[in-house]
Parts: sequence; C-alpha cells; structure tokens
Amino acid sequence: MTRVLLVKSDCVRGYPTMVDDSPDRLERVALSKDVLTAHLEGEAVLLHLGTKQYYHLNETGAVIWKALEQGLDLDRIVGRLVEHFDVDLATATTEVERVLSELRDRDLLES
Amino acid sequence: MSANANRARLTHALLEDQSLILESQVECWPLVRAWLPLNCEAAASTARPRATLAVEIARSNAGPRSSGKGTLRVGSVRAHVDEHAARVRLVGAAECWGWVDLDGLHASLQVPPGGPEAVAADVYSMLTIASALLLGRSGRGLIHAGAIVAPERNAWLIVGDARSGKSTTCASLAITGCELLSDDQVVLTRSEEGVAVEGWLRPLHLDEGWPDGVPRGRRRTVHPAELTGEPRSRSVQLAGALFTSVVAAERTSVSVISAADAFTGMVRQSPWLMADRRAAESVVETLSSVARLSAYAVQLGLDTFSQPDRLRAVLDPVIG
Repeated sequence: MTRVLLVKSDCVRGYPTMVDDSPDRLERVALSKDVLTAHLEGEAVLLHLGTKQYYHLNETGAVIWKALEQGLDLDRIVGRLVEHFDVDLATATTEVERVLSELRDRDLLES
Repeated sequence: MSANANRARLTHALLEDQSLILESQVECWPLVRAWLPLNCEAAASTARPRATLAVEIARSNAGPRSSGKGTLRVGSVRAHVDEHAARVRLVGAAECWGWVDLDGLHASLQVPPGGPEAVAADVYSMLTIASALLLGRSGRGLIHAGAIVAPERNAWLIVGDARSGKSTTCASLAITGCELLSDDQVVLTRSEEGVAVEGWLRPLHLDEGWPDGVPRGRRRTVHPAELTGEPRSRSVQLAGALFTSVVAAERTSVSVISAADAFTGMVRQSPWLMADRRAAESVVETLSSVARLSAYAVQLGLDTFSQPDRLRAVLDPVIG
C-alpha cells in the first residue's frame, strides 16, 4: 500500500525571524539503514525495507532528504530550503521540524 | 541416489539468454504448464544457467508450516526470508512448500501428488515468488505488468492493478499492429543502453463482453495467437510506461505523470521488491531508470472498450 508522505510545499514568503541557535539545533540526523531512496526529477521515493512501506516525497521533502543524506545539520538544511524555495527562515524552520517529525514517526530516521 | 533424482524432468529456459532455467518433474508438469510462459522453449543442452528452479513431487508432507505472516505474500503463499537474506522458505496453503537459496541461486518447490485446484494456484504463486527473487539476485526485476512493442520497435510497459484495463489495452494494441510481449509479467534488465523488457507471454484473461462492447465482469481466456501473429521478439528496449485505470463514464484520455508517480506505480506491482534487501538496491535502480523514461496515465473509458482502433488513435501520439 502506498503511504504518501505529505510534505507541505505551499510555503509563503514572510518576514525573517531570528533562528534559535541553541546547541541541539546543530544536531545531525541519521537516516535509517533500512531505507532505500530513489531520487526522481526533483521528487523522491523512500522504501523502508523493514516495514515494507514506501513514501513519496514532494520537492520540499526531497530537498530535505537530500540534505540529510549529505549529513547537513539542521541549520544548514533550513538554509538549503530558503535557498531553493521562496520561503523565509521561520517558515523553513517550522517546515523542516515538521518533516523531521514525520520522518521519525515512520522510522525513516534513526531514533 | 534418491527416487526423485531418477524421475524424468522437463527443462525450460525462462529467459532468452538461458540464464534462468525451470526444471519440472514430468509428474508436476500439468501444474507447471499453467505458469510456464508460452514463449519459453526447452533449454538448450549447452545452457549454463545462472539460476535454476526445480519443481518436484514432495517426498513427504513434512514441509515447513506457516508461522507468522512472513516477509511477503502472493496469493496463498507466504515467503519467509531469513535475517541474512540468504534463504527463503515458501509455504502454501495446499501442502505446497519450498525454499529459495538466494546465494546459491537455486529454488526447490515441492508439490503434493495430484491434489485440488488450490495446489495449482499455490504452484503458480511459488513459481512467481521464486523466479522474482532469483531474478533480483541477477540484477533483474520481475514486474506484474504487460508490454507491447510499437511499430517503431520501442517497447512500452502497461502497468496497473487487477481490473485496471491492462490486458484489454494490451489486446487492443496487439490487434492494431503492436507486438504483444506479455499482458501479465515482464522481466526488466538494465544496461548502459537503457532498460530492456522481456515478456513472459501467457493466455490473456479478457472480459467476456469485450468482443461486443458490453463489459460483463466475467473473464474468458484468449490465446495471444487469436489477437496477433507469432511474437517476433523476446527482449526489446523500453521507451516508457503507460499506467492504466478504468473510469467507465469518462472519455479515454492520456496525461503525463511524474517520474516519482511512475516509480511508485511500478513498486506497487513488484511486491517482492523489498523482500530481499540485498537485491533491492539494484532493482530500485532499474525501476528508477524506467520511471525517468516517458510515463503516462491512461484513463480508460467505455468509448474505447472493444474499440481497438479508437484506443490506438488516443495512444498513437504517445507510442507512435
């Protein structure tokens, strides 16, 4: 059964806000070793070999996942979203945190 | 030497390059024949197969019992892959069982002598699972899909769930001059030139009402020779994939879909893909390569049901 990971893509421009730069924001997130990724024209599909579920990431989700694959910390992932999309820092931060939470809930990240 | 080793066997090559061989004891042949693709011939005596499947009469009914839901289920057959992804137990509902040695590239399927119709269904599912897993270890992907070859010699996958119009689309295109590779199962092989598709051709199961344009919801079996001439090709380079669905009340239409949607559509038709984690990466790469080709959703309406020329006219801009 297809499990579609709905990643918000309608980010809107807003006013930049200060980013919380406390130490835990600099953590790096590890991907689950059970996940295979297919990067496909800006989107991505994740296959979890443990749960046998698969997830379709839209453009936003695919950029976040790619950044995780490259081992970027959270601040740099947020920066990458700001770079790729017409979105302010605060919105991007909220978005990244939301997506990471969704990925964790589905065991796509190491806990 | 065991009694089974002395029994006469029929040996068929499942792929054009003879790298996958099916051996069946004569006593099992009626069960195996229903699964064996029509275009698979007796194996050459010089064949040096990479992988083999053997179907034998069970020497006892002391096969493994199903425990837990398994890694994978096809029909009534459950496959249990061990933690090292080295060996797979297959357990059917009708006293059929077997195992696949993924490292040794050999499968052995045990069937009870005689038996009810359920045995035939289990043998069909076990052969599908075992061949899919062995193909995966050879870097190839088995997918539940059809395939046709357009006049320009480009092949197209026809992908969809059961009752999505996949076989009807294959039949319509075959009648209008395309070559039918299969309406059911195909093998994908990736190379530097692209992805080649090899069809496992079997009789088609079409709606009884297809000839007169009124769907009846019951199937009749049609031999491919009733639709088209003898197939000329076993393996053809793919140009793309068509994903069928039926929306009877709408007019038939075609629309582009994303590579990610095409990929998930193919994963859905490859339930064995994630069972063997040591083969999955290679098969995922193959499916990704197909998804990056052209991909279209074909929404089938009643306007083209039993109207092969009309369906062909809708699809011509895509497949040529």
